[in-house]
Amino acid sequence: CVCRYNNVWVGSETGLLKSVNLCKKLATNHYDKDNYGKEHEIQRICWEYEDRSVLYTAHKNGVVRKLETANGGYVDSFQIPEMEGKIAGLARLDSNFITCTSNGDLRLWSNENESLASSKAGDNVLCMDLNSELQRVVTGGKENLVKLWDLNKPEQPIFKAKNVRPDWLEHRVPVWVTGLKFIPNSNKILSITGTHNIRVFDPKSNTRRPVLETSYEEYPLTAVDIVARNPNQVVVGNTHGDAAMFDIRKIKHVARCYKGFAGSIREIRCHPSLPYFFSCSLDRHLRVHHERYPKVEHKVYLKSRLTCLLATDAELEVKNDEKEPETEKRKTEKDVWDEL
Amino acid sequence: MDEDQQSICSDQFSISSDQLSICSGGIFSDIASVIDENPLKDDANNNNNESMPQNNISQIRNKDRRTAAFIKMRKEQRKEKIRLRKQRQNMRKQLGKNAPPVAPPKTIENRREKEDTMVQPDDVEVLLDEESDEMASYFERKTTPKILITTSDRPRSRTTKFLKELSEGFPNSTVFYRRALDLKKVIPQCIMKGFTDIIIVNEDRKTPNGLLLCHLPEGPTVHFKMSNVKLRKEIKNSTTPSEHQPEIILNNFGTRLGHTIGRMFTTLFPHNPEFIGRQVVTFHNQRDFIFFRHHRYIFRNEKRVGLQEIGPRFTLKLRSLQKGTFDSKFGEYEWIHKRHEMDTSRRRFHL
Repeated sequence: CVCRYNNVWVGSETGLLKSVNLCKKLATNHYDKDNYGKEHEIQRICWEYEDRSVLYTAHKNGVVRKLETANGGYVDSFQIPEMEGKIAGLARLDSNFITCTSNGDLRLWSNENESLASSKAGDNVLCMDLNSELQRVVTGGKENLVKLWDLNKPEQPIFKAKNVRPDWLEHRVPVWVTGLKFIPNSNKILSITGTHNIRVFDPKSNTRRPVLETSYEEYPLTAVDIVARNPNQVVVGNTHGDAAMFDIRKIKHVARCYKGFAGSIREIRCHPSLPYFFSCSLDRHLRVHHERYPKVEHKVYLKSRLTCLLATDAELEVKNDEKEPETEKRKTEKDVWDEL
Repeated sequence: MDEDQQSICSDQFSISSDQLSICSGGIFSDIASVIDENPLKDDANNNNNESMPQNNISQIRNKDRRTAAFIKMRKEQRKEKIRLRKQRQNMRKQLGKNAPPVAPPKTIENRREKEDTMVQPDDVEVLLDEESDEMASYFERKTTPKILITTSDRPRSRTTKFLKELSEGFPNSTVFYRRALDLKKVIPQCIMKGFTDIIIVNEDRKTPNGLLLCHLPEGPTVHFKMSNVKLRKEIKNSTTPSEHQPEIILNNFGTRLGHTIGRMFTTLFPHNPEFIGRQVVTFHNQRDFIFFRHHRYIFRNEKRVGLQEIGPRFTLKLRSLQKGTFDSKFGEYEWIHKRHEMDTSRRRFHL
């Protein structure tokens, strides 16, 4: 049955991990005995490398815990080496962890707590993203420019962005990177900023400044994701609960905007195969939107302030059995024409 | 009003039945929430369908005939309504004592749209969330309130009078002239001097029209629209407050958002009310409007309670709840009132 799989895994400020099954219309709490509360706040969450059966949650106190999604139980826990500050990024690569803390400690470490590589990414790091194919990591933060790191050569960043030119009043534009994403199948990096800009950097080009830039509304952008089926489309959200889709090819204009948010959007994740995206926000709701419509498709109250989110490729609704034969019929018609 | 007065709480922590937050501890339920498939269906639509006549009047093309038909239809409807009412009344008379109780009237409040975030008194997760929020130190009795009250720049006389009366209602509060200072510069100084809350009254056209309440040191910040401000002088039979610490009543703050707002109001008053002063401050929420009243009560006999208003009185409506101290530009909002998206139903309330 399709309903068996959870649609979304959501981390919360109370340290509880929540799974939501939209087919069954059920939300479940996952927690370890004595390991919940504000000091165990889940700050980042990631899948096992290329596998959606295991996920890892990074907690405020520097513990990374392993959870098997099939039975929904915590299995193992690891301590981030020399952990200080907040966790800005968590990723998994070939049975190793990549973490980045807010004081700039970018680190590759193994399950046995052994540091394999580490580098200094500067102060106030807010975000990190991993490109597992190229084994590259990108970091950025407040007064911390976008830096691209090669995990095989962690001493120096292979690309360091340059701040944009001063504005029309000749004022320096503050650096405040709040979200980063690698654009799939290209070398480009997408970033969102606290100064409500969406920027695209191209490490291969001659310029260190963004190659594309636009702005959305007038409040800090907090969440970004790239639509998996169409990497040209980008969904962003801000602190006032406004979300919109942009097309990178026509970046100056909002492609579509979405309604129904009441609070700051913490994270947006697109469905891997269907035209839906999930968002979790500070108003304690998980929302599901269809990419083409502004209205909320599903809204789930999850009781705690939500921080991070992972989406699976499970179906959102139970498929009608009647629909499937129709597609078969069409196929047969085509076949008939082919034969002729 | 007599009935209301009997609900005066003995202690400010027992607040009111709607805001019960005390529940037995235990393990989390594995089910966080179940999503409702069918929201409440509209009763009104069904009724309309039944009362519609068989042939549709709007299809008559002649305007005069259409009007006549419509008037006739309305007359018939009215006659039918009266006939049914009389029938019911007769039934009631015949049955006498055995008559079924009269159905309660339909109001906007009792047909309120179902709100998912309504807090259940035995919800352990909400309790855990509240135990560790920014106001928790007050409820653990670690801090006592110390309030700074100020205005927007250059307040006119009505606002300054209002401020003076407001500060008399809040124990341990001081009024400061704003002196054109930035709020973001005021806040760190206040934290340094041990203030727990800042209240800023905004003025427009010589009348107070907004209220910003910022809890220190970590927030949250709430912004209200303020209306119907009545000073002590403008209230009939009003009196002056004594220096006793008042009791506090919070009514109908039932949702998760309402809980946070209610907790913020509670943190403005000291822990131990002095019952000898017989003063009570009420925050009454009705249809998302919060009514502030300050009274002195007296028990005339076992049933009757006398009330004297102390004032000032005003009405608040929530505009936004922001995480952290005041930062309207870069702050993260936990809830913003979006009129065009949220106010699509008259029966939907957020507090």
